Amino acid sequence: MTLRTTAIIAGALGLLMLVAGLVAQALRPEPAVVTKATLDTPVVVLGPEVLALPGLERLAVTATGGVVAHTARPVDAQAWLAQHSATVVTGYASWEELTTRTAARIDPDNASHAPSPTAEPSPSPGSDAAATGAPKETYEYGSDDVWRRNWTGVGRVSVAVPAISPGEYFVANSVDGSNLGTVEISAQRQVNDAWISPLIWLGTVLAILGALAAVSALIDVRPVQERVESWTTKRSRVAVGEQPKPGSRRERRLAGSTLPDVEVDEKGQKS
Amino acid sequence: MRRADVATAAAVLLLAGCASAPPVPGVTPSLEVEAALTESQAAAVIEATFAELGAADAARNSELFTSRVAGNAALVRGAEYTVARNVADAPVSELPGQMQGVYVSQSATWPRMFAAVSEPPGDGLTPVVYMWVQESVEQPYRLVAWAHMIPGAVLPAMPGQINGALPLVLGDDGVDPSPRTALEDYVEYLRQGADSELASAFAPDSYSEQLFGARDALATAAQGAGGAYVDTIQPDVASTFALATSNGGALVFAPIEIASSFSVSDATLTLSARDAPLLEATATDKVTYNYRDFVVLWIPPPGQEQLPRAVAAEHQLVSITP
Repeated sequence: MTLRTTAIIAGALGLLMLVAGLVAQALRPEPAVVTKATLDTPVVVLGPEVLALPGLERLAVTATGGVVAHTARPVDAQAWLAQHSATVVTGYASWEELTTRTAARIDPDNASHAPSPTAEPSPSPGSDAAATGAPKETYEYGSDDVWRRNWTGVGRVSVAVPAISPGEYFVANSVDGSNLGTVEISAQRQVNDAWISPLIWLGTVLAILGALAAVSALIDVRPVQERVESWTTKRSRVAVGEQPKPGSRRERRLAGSTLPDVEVDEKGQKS
Repeated sequence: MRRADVATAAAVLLLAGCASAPPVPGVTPSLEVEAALTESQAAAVIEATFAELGAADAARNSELFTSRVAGNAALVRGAEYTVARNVADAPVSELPGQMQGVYVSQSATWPRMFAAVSEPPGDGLTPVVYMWVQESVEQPYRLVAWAHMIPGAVLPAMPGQINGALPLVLGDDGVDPSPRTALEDYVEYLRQGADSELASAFAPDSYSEQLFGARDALATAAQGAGGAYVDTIQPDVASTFALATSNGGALVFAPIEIASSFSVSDATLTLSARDAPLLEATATDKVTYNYRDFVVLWIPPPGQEQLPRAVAAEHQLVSITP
């Protein structure tokens, strides 16, 4: 196998490496990832073991109306959750999906307060409910004294995970008692992409070498070689046809080396 | 399968290894603040309480106690409002809203409580000890009792608001006497009077001394009118709480109900102008003064030769019945 053939094979491999590297570059997953879960309860909960997962940055909960988020001691949150139906986020199924479980509770105290799409307007013409025809806007969740920190929003509430003290629960609920929309966890994940750039560079170099080898096989370079050899000869200290100087080492070298004459006496013959 | 599909599948498989697997929940981290209430939570409750109290004070109307004042505190303040509305020189008592200390617990069950000690009022009175109780997780903390500290008494050091004080069951024998025994003995001491054998079980305090002094005077007056004076004293054990102090002792927060009956024969009682608004019917020859007292007992830690004593107490009239 000639050097040129070897270079062409290496170039083909380099081309494959380059393509693979560019594809990997294009499809590389981003370090920042947002994982969502759809909710069908008015309350969503994340326990301290989930909040302690590495890389978590923000939590966001969406709803059609007002939404509030809180933190609490585990024992207090669990006591509060015993009264309400909630979706408990238990972790990641994958980077695209959260694992959840639903804890359904019957809350007779609030059964009559649940918003209904057929809520009757107030007989009072001056009331807001009559003006908007909207269902009851607040739901009786009980005292807020159990919560250590509170965040409120309309349509969405977003909380930085570092703002939640270790060991505490995160609880979010809709203001009007309707089901929440989604819960989103924003996180920074580790992407093992350190191999992509070297692969692209190496593939590029090999592909270029292979291309040069392939091109050299297609082009007659003998005139160029002749010119190069002529130029090389011309650049040498002795021009073609020039006779060496008499007695010079060059003359002796061109004349061929000669063995020195050595006289060897026979044994027993003494002069 | 076409070659393109194979290539795509290979690329996806290759890239699937790029992102690390999602983390899996592990050990649950421990809480930084173990107390049932953080400092900011307690401050919010106190602020809301005094806002409600201030509004009710301004209107002299206990019906404005909607969420933060309840129980005996509402009864006592309501009685003060009644008197204040009917007697010109009978203002309601001053309740300072600035606190010098807040005692929270680690309680994980309900009902639970926290207490606070105010800065001294400006009129030379001693600081006020307040007690808030949360009956259930859905209920707010409500101010249910208060009492001025007894002159000369000192509250013991309590655990800070990070860890909170350990709540003690009334029968806890880690302190001697147990909170229940201390309360029952103190109430029995109040029933029997200064000559009781239990007098030696408690350090002297001005609350019991005033109670005994009034009892002696009223009993003498009743006897002079052919009647009698009787104090009926009952602890409200169900509403009593105990917290461990920093050095192994205990503080017992105890509401006490006292009914003081004064009767005469062949005569008609006439109440003072200050008491008359609290009379729920017409007085004849017998009236009963109903009090909702609040006593804070300190039980020293084991090994100390100090006696249990009342460190805060208040005799609070709520109604007068025939």
